Amino acid sequence: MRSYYLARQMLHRDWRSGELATLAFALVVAVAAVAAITLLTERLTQGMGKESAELIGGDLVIRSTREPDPEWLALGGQLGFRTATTYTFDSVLFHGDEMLMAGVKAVSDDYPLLGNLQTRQDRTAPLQIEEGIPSPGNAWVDARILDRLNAELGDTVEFGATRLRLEKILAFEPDQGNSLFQLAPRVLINAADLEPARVLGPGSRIRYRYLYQGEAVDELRDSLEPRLGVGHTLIAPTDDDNSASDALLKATQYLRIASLLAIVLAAIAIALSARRYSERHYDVSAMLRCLGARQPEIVRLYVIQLTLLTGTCAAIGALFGWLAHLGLLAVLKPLLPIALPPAGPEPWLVTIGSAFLLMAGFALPPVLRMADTPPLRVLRRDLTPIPLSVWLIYGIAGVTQLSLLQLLFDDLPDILPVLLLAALAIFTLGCLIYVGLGRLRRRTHASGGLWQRSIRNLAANAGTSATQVMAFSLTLMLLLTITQLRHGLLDEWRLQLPAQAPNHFAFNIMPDALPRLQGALEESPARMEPFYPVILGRLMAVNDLPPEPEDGDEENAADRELNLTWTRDLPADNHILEGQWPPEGDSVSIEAGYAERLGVAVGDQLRFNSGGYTFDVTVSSIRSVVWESFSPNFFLIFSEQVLGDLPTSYLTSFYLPPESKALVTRWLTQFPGMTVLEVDALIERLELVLSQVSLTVELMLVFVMLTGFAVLFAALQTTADERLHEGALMRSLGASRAYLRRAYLAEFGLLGLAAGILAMVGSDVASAVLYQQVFDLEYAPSPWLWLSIPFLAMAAIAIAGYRGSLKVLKVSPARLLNQ
Amino acid sequence: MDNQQDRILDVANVDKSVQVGDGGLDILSGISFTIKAGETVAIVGVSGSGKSTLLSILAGLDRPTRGLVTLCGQPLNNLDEDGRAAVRGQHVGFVFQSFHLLPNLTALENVLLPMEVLGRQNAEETAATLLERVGLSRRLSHYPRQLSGGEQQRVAIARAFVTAPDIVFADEPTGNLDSSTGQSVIDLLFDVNREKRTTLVLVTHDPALADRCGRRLRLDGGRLQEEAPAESPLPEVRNAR
Repeated sequence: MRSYYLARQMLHRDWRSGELATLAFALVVAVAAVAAITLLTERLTQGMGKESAELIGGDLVIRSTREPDPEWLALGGQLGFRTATTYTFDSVLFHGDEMLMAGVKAVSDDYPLLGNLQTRQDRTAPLQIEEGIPSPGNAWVDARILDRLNAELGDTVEFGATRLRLEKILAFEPDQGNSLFQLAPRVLINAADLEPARVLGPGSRIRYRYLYQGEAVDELRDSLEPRLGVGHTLIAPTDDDNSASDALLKATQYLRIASLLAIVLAAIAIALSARRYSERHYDVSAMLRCLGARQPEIVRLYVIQLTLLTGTCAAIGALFGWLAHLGLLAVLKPLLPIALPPAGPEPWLVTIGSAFLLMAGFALPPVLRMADTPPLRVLRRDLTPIPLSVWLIYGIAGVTQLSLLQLLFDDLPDILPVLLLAALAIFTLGCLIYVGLGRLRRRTHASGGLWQRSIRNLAANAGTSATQVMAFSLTLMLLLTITQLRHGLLDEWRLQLPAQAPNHFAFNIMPDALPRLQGALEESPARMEPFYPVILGRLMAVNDLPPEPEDGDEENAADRELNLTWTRDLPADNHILEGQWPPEGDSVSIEAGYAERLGVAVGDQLRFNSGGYTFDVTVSSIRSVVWESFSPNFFLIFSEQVLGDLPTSYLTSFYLPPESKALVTRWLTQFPGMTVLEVDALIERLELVLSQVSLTVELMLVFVMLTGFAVLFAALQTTADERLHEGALMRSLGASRAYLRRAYLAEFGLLGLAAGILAMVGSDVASAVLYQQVFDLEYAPSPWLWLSIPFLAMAAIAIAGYRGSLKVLKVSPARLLNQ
Repeated sequence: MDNQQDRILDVANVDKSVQVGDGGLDILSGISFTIKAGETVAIVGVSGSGKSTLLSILAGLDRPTRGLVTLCGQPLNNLDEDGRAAVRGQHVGFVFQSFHLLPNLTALENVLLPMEVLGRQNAEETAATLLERVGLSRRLSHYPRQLSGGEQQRVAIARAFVTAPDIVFADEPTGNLDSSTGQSVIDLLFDVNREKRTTLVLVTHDPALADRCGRRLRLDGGRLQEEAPAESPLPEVRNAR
């Protein structure tokens, strides 16, 4: 109790005298950054996960080509999940003399579990949000159905053995997700109509989805997984391969790396300021020991002080972090389509935990060292405590850092090598700087010019100079890396959605209509993609063996009609990964993912059948394709020689500004066979998600920057006392303020230059690794950064250091007489 | 007959007061005296009598509240801090009680420091000779932490004289040393001072040290009195120590 009281008193006095400012500032900023990032990340990922879940129709989905066991739905019910079932298949609708192959989707009562269906009462009516689904006997249909069947809303169409009334125009399905390339126009019906229609039977190609919405996703997944058989696949929002979830995944990874860097930076700031704090308190410890305090008492005293300080700073930091995350959410609000779920206790525990771990790892060792201060220091000021073993200090710091990271990142192994590599690089560079400065010192002439003198002065303080360069360069390296990553991600997203991404797909264009349609499009404000010939075909054999069907793959490309095309012009966002472009003779270029699924490499033989005509080709190249690009893309691109003589239709996509939408209707009547699919809704949605995550990524950068400033501040503080003393002495020896100003600018400038060069080396290495390992992006070092960053660093550190030293110029040199 | 050229330090009606709480505290009042080139002057007084404050005003480290200080022909009142720094660099050397050597510089580098500030080239020889003179010829590349207190003060003496100043101010130069080390340091200080024909002003409360100076000025309650030089120290003063 006495220790606690004394500790509180001492803490209070230190606080009042400003001794604790740097340490407290570093900790508060660190805690605030961690709190804001963990809170925001959790809420956003939950929120964005929700949105993603909407895209696939539930928090967990069983996708299947065989009827799933109804027990599995009941299982979800027992675990508190809401469930629904959808059945999709192609079926023919009749209206008078007209008939049409439609994509039917039959849904159970609770559908949709997430989001809402949207309809129109007629073509020009505003969108209407639906709370339910069509009642039995009614159908909500794609507007194209009305066109093609020559029908009006209210008409009745034949569907199998029953009749359906066309009730509304279906404008939006929340779980449209991947079904962008659904060729047949949609008919949405009540699942109760399946029975009377008798459209289902043996051999009907029906695709089932069991949708689940609820909390205990892991539990449900665990109990479902062992029961699933061949043909059933479990999918979760993050498994889904679509642009939004890909962007979400990368943004989440980015946020996690950003918070990791914020923590590393905070650790540096805390270590630096704690060291300074302890060095300034040797006298206090010596005095306490003189007055009879035993070593354990002093240890206890400082542990209590640190605990009180950490608790207070953690609370303040958490408050700031919470406010900051509210601020960030307010900025993001226009982009957030749904209310975000509140954060659970985890971010708070992580925040408080990381505050204590940071302090235990980085502040405790130097502070504990104070307990070893020999009492004789009271008489002999040159006596300092015996240094703790370096291994002990770095061991404690390393262990706490790792456990902190473990707390925040469950997939630590991903980034651990990068982190270790960076730490090793920095340590090695630090040693090199130390040794290099020692050498330089011997070479420079004592009475040389400004630069020589600055180098010599830095060399004279090799230890602190090396520490400062390491702190600056590490900070700068992390900031550069995170900024580079941000550029990479934002560029990739921008590439995915160019300003005028095609918002219409046109297909079933007959060869005789092609020139006229091309002419019509050219005259219109539309921005066209190339036209591709499309031949339907089926893969029959791979190297003379039948292709192996994949379990549960709804889009089983090995066993379905494929869109085959031929061209000599490589589509804009395709890249040849292997082999030769273009395909010559009897050869085909194959998309990388498809090739992987089939287990096919360059040189393999494939056999196809199209309309009874069988042909063999050799794989001549493997391509990467940006499926998210909204441009026409193909698994298989042949040479003209193979497909040129087969009956073909054409396919393209184009961008049409909203005010010219009426043109589509005109073209549809002009070219009756053609189908046009509008994808504005999907693009808008993707745009929303991308802008949302881009902005978050930008805002997160601000936090990392802020911790970076804390390091800069703490690193400059480490030598502030020495500089104050040295400055006063220099002035008593006749140095003018201009002289000192020049000296500070030169010294800090040199520190900054060295830090800038090291940071560029480090960030190029780290970015290259992160780009390839984590984000799957290409990395190219930028010569502009190499030319600018070292000098920017030089200027920035020179100015920051100079500003920090202004105090030296103001303080009276007479203080030397009072020491 | 005072020759204007001989007067190295002129102090006229100097007051110094500081703000403490609501009121002012007078530390020095009505101080006037003159020091001629080559003199050795001790400023003595009890602790808190304002000795160090007076010294910092004389050396241009601090400004008086009122009054005029002329150092080496330069009226300090008219100069800003940089102007006073220039005067210090050109004309003044310092020896401090706690040495104030820079811990990361070797003995030689510490002595070279004032030369660097003045931008004087090829000063190493001068510095090395001076260190030799103070008996540290084998310690040139040692750091302050590798030197004893007495040795550190010798380095400080070499630093004070390296620029060949006109006047050296010493603030309790033996205050941090034991008496025998202090004695030898003082011998050295006086010897070098005599060799270099420098004026020496030192602040001390050590009567023995004060007695070695040609003049003795006593500060009492902020006022200065000239004391008669004691050719032989009084026995009772010795006993009092």
